[in-house]
Amino acid sequence: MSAERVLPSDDGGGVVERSPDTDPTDEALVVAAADGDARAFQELIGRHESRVLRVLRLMGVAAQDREDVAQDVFIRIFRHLSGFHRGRPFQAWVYRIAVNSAHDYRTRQGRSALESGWEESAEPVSTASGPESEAELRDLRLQLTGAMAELTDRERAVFILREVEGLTTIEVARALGIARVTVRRHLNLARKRLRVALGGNDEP
Amino acid sequence: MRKKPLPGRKNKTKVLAGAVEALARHERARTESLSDSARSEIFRHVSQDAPAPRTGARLFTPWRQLALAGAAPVLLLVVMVGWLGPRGDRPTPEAMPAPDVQIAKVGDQVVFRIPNGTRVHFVSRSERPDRFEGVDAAKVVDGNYADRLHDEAGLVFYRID
Repeated sequence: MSAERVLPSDDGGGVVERSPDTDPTDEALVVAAADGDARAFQELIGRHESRVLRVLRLMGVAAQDREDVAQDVFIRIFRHLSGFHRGRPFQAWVYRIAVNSAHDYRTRQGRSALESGWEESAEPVSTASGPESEAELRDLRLQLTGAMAELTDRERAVFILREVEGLTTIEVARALGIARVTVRRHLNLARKRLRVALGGNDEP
Repeated sequence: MRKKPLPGRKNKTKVLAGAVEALARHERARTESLSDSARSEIFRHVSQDAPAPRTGARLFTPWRQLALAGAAPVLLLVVMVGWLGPRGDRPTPEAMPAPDVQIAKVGDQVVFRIPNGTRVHFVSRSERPDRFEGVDAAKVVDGNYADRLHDEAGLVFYRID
């Protein structure tokens, strides 16, 4: 059970009352932010900014434009807070707006400028846990991200949400507003194309 | 980019699974955050859309306060212009033009200037946007006020009456 409650503030907006040992849920923050609690919206940004920036990067938004697009994402989120369906996962909604914003960006920019978004982090993150060397893992990642650039936006979004973000098929369907069968179809197509790109033809 | 030798058919699925796992692990280990300027820009935009106060009248809505507070603690030069409005218990003459507020970081101070404000204003400082009642207000004469920046990261909210 959540320990926070939304109280009216002295200016008429909602304020999230926080208990010392629990964090308010996203939903409580959404309610408060929609009522004018700036801190609640700031906290929502803090919770989701890394996720938004990651999705934008994986969707091919160029590094120099990523913050601008992320700003648009959060401004869109704020402007539609009052229309957010309470009881639905806020995170899925954030994913949807991020993916749509990335798609809009790609449409504006044209495909030629798209893939400058692929870059390795300046500070390498150690992810090797097995016998593979960092160099081998990095090589694999680069091959995969290069191959992902050839996917359609929808295939790419489904693949990122399912495989990188770790959402279930139902969660991806909810996030993108498409049917589960459509998620599975795009995921299979994406995997098939990526297998070909990584390993030659795709004959069984 | 150098590609690995083509794997056998049986290994293709394994190669993709390995690449996906490497990518997912790498991506989840990264933490990215928006810059302070991007954050301030978001709040500058949303402050124009924020719901209007239902009771009383404040010089800054909480959104405007946050747009300002997001800039102040990062010790960057910030110049923002806000509009002062009448506060319920301190009516402003209707004929007077809306004064503008200029805020800048100068050295280790936040300097407020209200060039066309009234002769006397009151500035309150709080760490919570909803907690200005009972806070000591500094009297500002002739439109200039400076507050020392503190080292701790965190938001500071100002209300100017």
